[in-house]
Amino acid sequence: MQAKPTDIPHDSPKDSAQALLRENAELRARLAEAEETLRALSNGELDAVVVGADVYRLESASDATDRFRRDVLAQMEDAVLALDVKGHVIYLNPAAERHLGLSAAQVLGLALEKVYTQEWLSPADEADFQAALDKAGFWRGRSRHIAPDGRKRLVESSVSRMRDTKGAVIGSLAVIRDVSEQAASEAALLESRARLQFTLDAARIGAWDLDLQTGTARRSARFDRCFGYSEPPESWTYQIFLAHLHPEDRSLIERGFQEAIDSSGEWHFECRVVWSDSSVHWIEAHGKVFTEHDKPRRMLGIVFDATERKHVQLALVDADKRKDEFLATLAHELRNPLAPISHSLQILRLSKDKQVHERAQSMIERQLAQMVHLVDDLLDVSRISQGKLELRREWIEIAAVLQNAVDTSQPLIESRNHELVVELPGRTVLVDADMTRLTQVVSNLLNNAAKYTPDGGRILLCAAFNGDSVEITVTDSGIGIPKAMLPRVFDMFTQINRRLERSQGGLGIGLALVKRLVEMHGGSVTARSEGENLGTTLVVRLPAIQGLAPVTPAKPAAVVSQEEGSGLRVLVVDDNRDSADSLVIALTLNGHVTATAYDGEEALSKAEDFQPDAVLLDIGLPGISGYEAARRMRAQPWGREIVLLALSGWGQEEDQQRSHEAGFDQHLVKPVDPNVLTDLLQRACGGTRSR
Amino acid sequence: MKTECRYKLRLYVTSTGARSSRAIVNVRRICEENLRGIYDLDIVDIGLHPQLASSEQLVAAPTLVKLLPLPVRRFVGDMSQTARILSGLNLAADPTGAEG
Repeated sequence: MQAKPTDIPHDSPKDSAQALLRENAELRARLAEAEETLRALSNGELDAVVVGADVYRLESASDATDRFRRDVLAQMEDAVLALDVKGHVIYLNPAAERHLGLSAAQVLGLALEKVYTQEWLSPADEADFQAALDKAGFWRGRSRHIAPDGRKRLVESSVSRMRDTKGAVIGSLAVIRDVSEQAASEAALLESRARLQFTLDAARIGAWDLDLQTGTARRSARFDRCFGYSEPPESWTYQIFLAHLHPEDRSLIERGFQEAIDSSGEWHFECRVVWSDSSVHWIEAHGKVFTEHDKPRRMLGIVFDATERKHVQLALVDADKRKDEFLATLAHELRNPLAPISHSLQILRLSKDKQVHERAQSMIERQLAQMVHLVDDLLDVSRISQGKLELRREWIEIAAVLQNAVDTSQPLIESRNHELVVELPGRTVLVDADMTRLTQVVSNLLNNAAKYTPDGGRILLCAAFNGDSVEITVTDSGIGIPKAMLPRVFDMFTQINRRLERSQGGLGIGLALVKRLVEMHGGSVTARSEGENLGTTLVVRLPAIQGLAPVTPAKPAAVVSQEEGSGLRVLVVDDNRDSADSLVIALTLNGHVTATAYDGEEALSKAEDFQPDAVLLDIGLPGISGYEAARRMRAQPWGREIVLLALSGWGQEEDQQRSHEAGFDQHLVKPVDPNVLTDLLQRACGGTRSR
Repeated sequence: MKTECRYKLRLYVTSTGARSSRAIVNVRRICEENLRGIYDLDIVDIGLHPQLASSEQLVAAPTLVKLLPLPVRRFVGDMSQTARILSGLNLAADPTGAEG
């Protein structure tokens, strides 16, 4: 073994002696190194030999494979640690350095427990870990790593045994992933899922998940309940869903579904479903399409029972509609008496005749009384609704009530030429009641019967003692009530056929008022009818106190009128006699020759006899309507040239149009100023005659 | 013992080599046992840095180089010859590796 000295310095003697000593030591050290290298080489302690710029590995693994492995490890997001059999760290990749917050130089060679402490999530985990490594040489699971600074991290790691080519264990390899964040988001997800479930449960919302490829759906129990199932049905598909829909709703729902799929959009609907017991329920549902590679794959959604809400909604819509109709009717009813009043005022101004004045005055009084009655009814209804109406109760005889009511309703009954028959029990019956209110009840029933019975009908008013109660029955031979309407006749603002009613007048509050007043007296009221045009029977039952003696029934009356003058020949047709009569008087005073008819049939026959130049025709007539009467007149040879003027309380565009179609020359809205009417007649008839 | 001066050591290894792994563990053990708190140990993969291997005049891996305190000393092998290394680091009384 020989060391080769290089440069020998020529310094001062002292220095050179020191230098020589140093050099000597250095040479000896180099020599030792060389010896060491050879020894290590012969002992197999080397992995590589360096010659020039090349590193020669002494093991079989090629440099390329090695580099590849190293690159893979360097690129890995997961921390990789290699340990020797005694648990010392012999390798770590850059991710592991980041994971530990320590450099490789700080960690390599250290025992693992100096780097971090492993804490098991449950005591059983450690046993599992040992067993899995011993048996399969592999373990994967979660644990907690505690760094020397006390920081804890939840990790998911897989640990495998490393073996050499002969199969001897040479250590272990751990791949570690920090799942703290993932675990936190998992926990957040679980919480949000629990919250969603709670929300769905609390709001009684069912959930569904429809596979658009197969058409099958997964549902929650709440979903099934919306379709009437307390136990989940075996399978559920889109087709089964469709089969549960109300037939009228089906096509609309199918269209919405198709649109949602075509646009990969959303699906919102409410519809009726029919349960297996044939009951109909409402559901509301919302869905959203989820796509995969731009193709609709699933639809996720919710559904809930909307039956209750829908019923409330429909009731509200209906109430709103009835309110609107009521307001229209109210306006109409309040305006109706205005025509005769206005005509009468004209008459008072134009005529000096005392008799004519008296008639005009009584007409105004009657019409005013009708308006007052109307307004009173309205006020009563509102007072009862607000609980402000008080009964002044005393013991009164039922016969007296009936007599008062007959007196009140007599004028209306007589004007319609009805026959009224009153039947009383053969004994005195006492009730504890408010005389005024009870009279109002019976009178309302009589007015109702008179209004809804064609002229010349029969009305029976009957009181019968029944042990502890008295039954007051009003039966008419009138238009009756369709079965479906029977339960609703006592509702506020209910009228059976709005168009038909126009000729009858009334607000539709009479029976509502009757019901409330009777109930305030501790009684009840019911309606019976065999159907349309088969008459109506209304029965009021009141608690009675004693029996009573018979009462004499009232007698009917009649009114007729016709006058003539000069000028045009005008036929006035109106079922409101005051209205017709007052107009006739006004026209007569204006110098026309007039005739009057009170319904459509009469109008046709009168017109043929009278040969008028003009006909003023009310639209809302009983029997043949004004439209029909006009059409029939136009069909006659004498009717082609005459002037036809429609008179109506209704002046909407639609009403005007219908009049025109029926052959009217003009549509006038009541009340019509007689002067305007005269002008109009002169011009219209002049035009007709010059043709 | 010279405790005023920090030891600066560098270990050259090939990262996947079995002897290199052994050398790492052995050097760490020796340092922790004898130089605790006063050493900096660099571990360099010559597979990653072959240019270092030639500039540092290495002939083999693993090699441990004592950079400080001077003089620079090199040790070759898996570092299982603890006594020899200790004496090379001037930590042992009897320098067995220095005999002729």
